[in-house]
Amino acid sequence: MTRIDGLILALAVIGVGALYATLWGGTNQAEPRRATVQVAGETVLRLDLSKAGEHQVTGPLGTTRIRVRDGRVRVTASPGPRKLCVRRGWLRRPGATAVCLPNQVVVAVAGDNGLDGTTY
Amino acid sequence: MRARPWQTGTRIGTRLAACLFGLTLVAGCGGDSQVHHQRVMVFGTLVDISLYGLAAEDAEPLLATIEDELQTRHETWHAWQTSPLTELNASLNDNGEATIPEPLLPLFDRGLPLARATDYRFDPAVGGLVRLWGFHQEPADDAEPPGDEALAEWRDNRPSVADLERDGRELRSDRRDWQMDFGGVAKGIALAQVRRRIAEAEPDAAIVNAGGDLVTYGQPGGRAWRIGVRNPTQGELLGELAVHRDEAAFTTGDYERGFEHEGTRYHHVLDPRTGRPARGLRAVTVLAEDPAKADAAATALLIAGPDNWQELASQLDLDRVLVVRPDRSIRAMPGMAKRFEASDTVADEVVTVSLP
Repeated sequence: MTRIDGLILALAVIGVGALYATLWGGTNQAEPRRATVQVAGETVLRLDLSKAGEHQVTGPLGTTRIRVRDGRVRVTASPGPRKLCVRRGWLRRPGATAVCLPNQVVVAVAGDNGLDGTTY
Repeated sequence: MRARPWQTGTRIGTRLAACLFGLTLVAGCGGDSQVHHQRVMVFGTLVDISLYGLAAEDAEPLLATIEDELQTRHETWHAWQTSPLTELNASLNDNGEATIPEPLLPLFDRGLPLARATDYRFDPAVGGLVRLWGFHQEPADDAEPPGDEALAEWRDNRPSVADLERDGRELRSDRRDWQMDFGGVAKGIALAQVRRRIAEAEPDAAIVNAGGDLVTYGQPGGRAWRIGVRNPTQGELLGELAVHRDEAAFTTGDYERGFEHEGTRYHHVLDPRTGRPARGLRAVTVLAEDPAKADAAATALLIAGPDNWQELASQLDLDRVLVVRPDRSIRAMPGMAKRFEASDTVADEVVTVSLP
């Protein structure tokens, strides 16, 4: 094995390692989490979960309020009578959603959690 | 008021890159060649549809058809807005007889035998009780449970579809208080129909998730579907289920619809025998081939409660059942234990139970 062979081998190993980290690393703590807010199917907000803040969107029934804090997001108020999306609480996991059905608002943490769905 | 469907990114580029560059180290790239994902608000819930391996010109009309058919069924089968079902209830109450119209046949064909099979724990005749509790509409802020007298009166003269005589499409009954509500099985019947519609288009695989209850068609790239099970006590996951091809996963829990009154929470899964919300189990998840059976069974098993769910499950020929108890421990039947992996954050034990 010449030095060139060794170099190529070393590069290949590093390359594979880098590929693995890039493609299979998934959402780790280093990567800032994001969330999208959709109203009636249209994405109206993209939130960076590393930036605490208060947001609001308007659906057919009125205003839905959304809070971002500590890398998490939640709905704090929505005009739906059952408040299911508010009761859903904080969302952190990639793919987690809070759905305010009456006001047609969907808050979803971006990213692939490796799941094909959730039963509840 | 229908939501506009939207397409989400399919990550095809990422997958393709992974396959090309990492052939030697990447397993499981196959299968996901083309995914059409659509999320629509229909059937009174949020429905997620994913179709694998269909060309766009085949997938888009199929998605539109599914959405339309679900919307039509939702309206036709509605127990509280004027619908063929409320007209049938009225006809039975006025004349003591009624003819089942074509669009309602699946409800009776599947619902009546399932009611019998669950010993009428799942019983479409509970509409009057649902109304008594106010669960036929959005609970008001000041909702309160019905009084003991009203509930006793209901129990003493409890309607049941067992009182219904059926001959072909003709129904007869001496009762005059029919308020049938097929909510405990309608989603299962609808998803079975959606799956048949999908099968006609012959995609590689598909999954349809209607507000936490789902059916699968085929498998994506030869692997099992990975389905999270929501933890009833918090928003995170209890664990993960491996769902196979052409299966259905249905969950009924005490945590969705309900109201609080003087510090007590009352949920919408009502036990026809007591007239009150079922007690003793937080949630039940059922895996079965037949979505209608999984739907009715999840409700009936939650109602059967901690002492009777296993017996009822075996009576229904189910062995893929998972229940969550109020102490947060999990019980899984052997067939389910093989499919379920508890998540790390759930410290509670999983106990495999055997058939009685």
